[in-house]
Amino acid sequence: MNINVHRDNHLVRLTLQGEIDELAAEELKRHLRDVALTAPQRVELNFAGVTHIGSAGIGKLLVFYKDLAIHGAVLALVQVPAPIYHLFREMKLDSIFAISEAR
Amino acid sequence: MPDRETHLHSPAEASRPRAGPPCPLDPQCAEALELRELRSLSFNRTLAELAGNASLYRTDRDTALQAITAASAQALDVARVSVWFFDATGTALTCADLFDRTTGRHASGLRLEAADYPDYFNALERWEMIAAADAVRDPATCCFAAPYLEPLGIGAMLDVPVRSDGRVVGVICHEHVGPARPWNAAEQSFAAAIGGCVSLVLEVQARREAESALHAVNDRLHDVIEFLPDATFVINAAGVVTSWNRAMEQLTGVPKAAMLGRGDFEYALPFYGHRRPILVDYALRPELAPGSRYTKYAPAEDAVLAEAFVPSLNAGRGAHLWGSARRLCDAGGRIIGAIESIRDVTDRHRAEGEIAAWKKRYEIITAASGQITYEHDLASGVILWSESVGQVLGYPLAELGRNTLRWLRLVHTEDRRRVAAELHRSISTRTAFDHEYRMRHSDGSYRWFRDSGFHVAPADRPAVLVGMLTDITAAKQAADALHRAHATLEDRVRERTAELATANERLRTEVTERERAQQALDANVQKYRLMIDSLPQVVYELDLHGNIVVLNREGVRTARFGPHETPYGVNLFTLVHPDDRDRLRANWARLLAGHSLNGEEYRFLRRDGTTFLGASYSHVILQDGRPVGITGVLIDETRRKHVEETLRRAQADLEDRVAQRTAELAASNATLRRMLEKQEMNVGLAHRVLLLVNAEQPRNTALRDGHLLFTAAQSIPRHLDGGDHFFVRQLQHPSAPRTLVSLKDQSGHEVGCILRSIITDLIHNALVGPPGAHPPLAEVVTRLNREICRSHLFQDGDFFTAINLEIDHATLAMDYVIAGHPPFLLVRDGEVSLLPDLAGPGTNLPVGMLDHHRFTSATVQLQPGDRLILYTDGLLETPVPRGRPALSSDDLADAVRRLLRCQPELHAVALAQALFRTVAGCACHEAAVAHALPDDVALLVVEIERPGPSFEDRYRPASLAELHAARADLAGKIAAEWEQYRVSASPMRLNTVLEEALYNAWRHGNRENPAKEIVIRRRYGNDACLEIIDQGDGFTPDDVGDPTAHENRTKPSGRGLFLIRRFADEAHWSDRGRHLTLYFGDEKTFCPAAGRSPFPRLDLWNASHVNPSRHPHHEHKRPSR
Repeated sequence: MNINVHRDNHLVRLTLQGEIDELAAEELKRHLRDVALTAPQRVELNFAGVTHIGSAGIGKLLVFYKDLAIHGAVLALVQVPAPIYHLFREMKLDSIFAISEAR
Repeated sequence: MPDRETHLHSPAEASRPRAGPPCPLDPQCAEALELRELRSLSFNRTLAELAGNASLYRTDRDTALQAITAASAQALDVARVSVWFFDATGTALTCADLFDRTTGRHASGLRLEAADYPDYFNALERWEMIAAADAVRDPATCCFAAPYLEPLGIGAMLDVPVRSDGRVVGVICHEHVGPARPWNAAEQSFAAAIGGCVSLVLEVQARREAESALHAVNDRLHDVIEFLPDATFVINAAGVVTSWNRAMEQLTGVPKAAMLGRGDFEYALPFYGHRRPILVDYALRPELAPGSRYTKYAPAEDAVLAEAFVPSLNAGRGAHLWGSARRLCDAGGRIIGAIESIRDVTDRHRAEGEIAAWKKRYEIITAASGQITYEHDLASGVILWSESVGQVLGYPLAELGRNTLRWLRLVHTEDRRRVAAELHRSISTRTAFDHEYRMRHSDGSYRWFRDSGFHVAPADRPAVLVGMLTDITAAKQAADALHRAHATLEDRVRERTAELATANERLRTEVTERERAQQALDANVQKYRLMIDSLPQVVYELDLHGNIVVLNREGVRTARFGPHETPYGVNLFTLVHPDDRDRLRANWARLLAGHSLNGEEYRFLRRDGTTFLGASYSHVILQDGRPVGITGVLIDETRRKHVEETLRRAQADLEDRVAQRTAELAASNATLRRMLEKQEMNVGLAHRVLLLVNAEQPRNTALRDGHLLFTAAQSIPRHLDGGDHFFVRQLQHPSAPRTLVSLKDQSGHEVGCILRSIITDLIHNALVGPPGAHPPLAEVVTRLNREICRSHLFQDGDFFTAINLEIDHATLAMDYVIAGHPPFLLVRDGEVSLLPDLAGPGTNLPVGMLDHHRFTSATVQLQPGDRLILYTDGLLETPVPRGRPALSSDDLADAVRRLLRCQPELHAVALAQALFRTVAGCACHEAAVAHALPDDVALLVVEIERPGPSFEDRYRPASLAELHAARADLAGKIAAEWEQYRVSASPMRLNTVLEEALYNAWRHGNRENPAKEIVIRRRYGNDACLEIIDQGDGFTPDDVGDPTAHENRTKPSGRGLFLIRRFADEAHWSDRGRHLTLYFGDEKTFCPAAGRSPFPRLDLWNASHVNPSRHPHHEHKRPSR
């Protein structure tokens, strides 16, 4: 899995690529923790290149969401491929953070 | 090299003295001169004698040569004279005559080869004469010295070539015996003259042979002419008859003797009665012109052909004569006469006349009918048109021509390509054609023609295309006019239709409803007749007089009507015991008065005189509110009484429970009605309600010895949803669990039909009862029928057919009840059978038709490996959209047999998929999307699955990285196995489930302890089975919280089970949650009926019961999974 981080003032954009399985979830956790420490106001995770995410990866997203929420920051998942988008909606994750489907 | 001057001797040169000029005064010289003159005189006399000897040239060649050689030897005073001729190749000389003056004898036959005497032969070729005074030394003759000259003492030779037709053909040799002898000019001249004599003899001889051959040829020619079948005569250049054959004698009646030698046109008299030039004269003298004397006259360079009518022949009847005359020339090209052959063609002429007359009549008829006939020569492309073409198309024949392209140019440009293509097709395939196209008339307009043609292959010439063009312009115009009139009429009708539309709109709904009702009635009547014949009870219809109108097969059998005896018209009272007839009459009166009379018992008389006790369930048949007859069912009471007592107690209990359920269902039904009225219900919602009613349906159920009971179904509705529905339910019987399978086909379609399906399955499940209850299958279906009939939810004509099976997990005994449904297929060890037999045990009426009908069941013992295919009758109609006839159940059985011949071990799902593809021509999932089938189709498969091939792996990961590697290794192995066993589930589903399950087993089960192992097993049957076993403390899956619940949504864990259930077709936990069994089925068809659900479903009918296969343990709560 590849993670690319781009900072623009208080906006941080992370571009994710590949499978987020149980092993990749640990790597994602480290990157998200580093981002959380910078106290951004908004974080966008670009899912356009993500082909799979398991429960471990989803768990890391929710931990990250909580870390951001403590500081009043906003988390958004953008360019989410259709199968993953529908899975997130079935899990009602769209009621927690903004999720937009890839076009 | 020979000296040219030595041999080229001219007479003047030869007469010249070789040493100085002669002196006349010298006495020796004078004597020599006198001798020379004497010799000259002798030469002249000899030549004169030879020239004047006429017999010399009339005799044969050899005699003439002998005379010449003897005379020459005498005159030249030489010892030997011989004549030699070259052979055909010019390489040898053969002696024709050799005269030896010493002996006076002649010889012949010697031969000299050019190869032996090349100098001599070369000299003969080059020189006019060889005058060898000293033959031994002369270069031309010295080659003969040793073999010939010296032995014979020959001293001189004088050889003269013999010529004929301008070339040297031989030589005449004069040989002097003695010393050398010079040859003077006179001697050389004489020798040359002798050579001329020999040449003359040869010429005369050749001419004589040529004349002889000519005579022979003339004789043969006269013989040929004499016996020619045609009358033939010959005249010479002077016009005198030289030949007059027998056929001429027969034709003219003039004998040969009377005509030979006659001239002055006398040969014209037998034909014309006067002298005049006839055809032979026009051939002899082309400058003459025959005028109009001949009907056909065709002059050529040296011949003429003609036909003429000669009135004087055939005893005054006249004759048509065909004549051919030709000039005769000699070898030099000079005209020497002419020959004429005459043939009587009167019969042929008459036949041609008749043919022409018929042809003319045909032409007139075809032209009058607007038709053109033609003959198309395919080899040359020439078209021969009938004369009617001018009248029909307006073109003179000459202008139309005979060319194919010219005809095609007249064809309308829009039709031309099509016409040319059709012509090409007809020519290439040698088949007939018939098409229509437009052609341009000479007035510029286009006319429609129908062109019909066919190929003719006469024996004497190449194939031709014969056709007929018919002018159909008038017909086309009439059709156009009719079309326009029709269009006008349609416009008017449309206007009227618009006027009536409003009124029709009001009526349309009613008409449509009536049509539907009528169609349903027709269909139901037909089904009704088929079904009552398949019933094991007696079904009858009577008119108001008691005469039988309808009696089913069982009725005929029970009353024992003979094979040639008809029951129709027989009065029922004659079949009732006399003691019961008054009671029957009284009951009939009550029945017609509106009273219900079910179960009345009478004694009936069979046709053979025996009796039986029967219970009658009768109803009045009403038409327009008036009774027109009575229908009913007659049941053998003896049998019923036997089981009645047995069922009485159970029935009382069931009635209480059903009454309670019916009340609940009535309330539910009222709710559904309100929803429908508020338009809150649609097909999708109705479908979901039906799924809820039927709960989660078991798919793979473990049996003993590793066997599985597999059940799966595929619905292919005609519309969005249809009337085919099914459920599978596990029954917890006290002795052994059983699986209930029910497949039903509701009449009708769409929402109303689905609502009836819902209420049907609601009642059915209620009648089955709670876990532990076990009413007999036939009893459940009988009660179901009764409740349906009494529920008033089914309108007139609504019913459903059904197959209901109950399989005992321990014994594999299967009870079944068929209610008006097609039989199902049982596949066992490659054999295919249909169950049940028509009218056999277990065959019953559809549900919802007769409320008092008692349903019966049958039993069959299943075996491991057995496959069942249940289907609704829509499957039999799937070939119809492709223009093929509907199938029978036997056809389906045959199709399955053919499939099994190729793949005998196909599992039930694959077999059902292949069967559907075979009969419907497409895959199940394609048909399910297309909604193009004539009727709803449902397929339900059952298999007692034997243990399939299995694989096992064990891992002890010490870290997350090792777990990840183990999963990758495992995924690769399983992917290969899925490919081998043709598992169509997507790899994405497998990877997701594998990741979550392995992670759970390692982290939550084994608690990351590398001493504990994770076992992964795979088995392959209808579904791919995956088992994951850990060595942890276990957990209770139902205690894991719902991650979508509001309070759990932000929790970072607890979604693993959600994903496992979401992506596997089935997921069971056993051994206190340590043993996870997963199933993956076909991706597109025979999926779980309710789809893959991430949530455990509510089982309405086992809600108070714990399903041990799904909820094995409650000891542990590990909601974090």
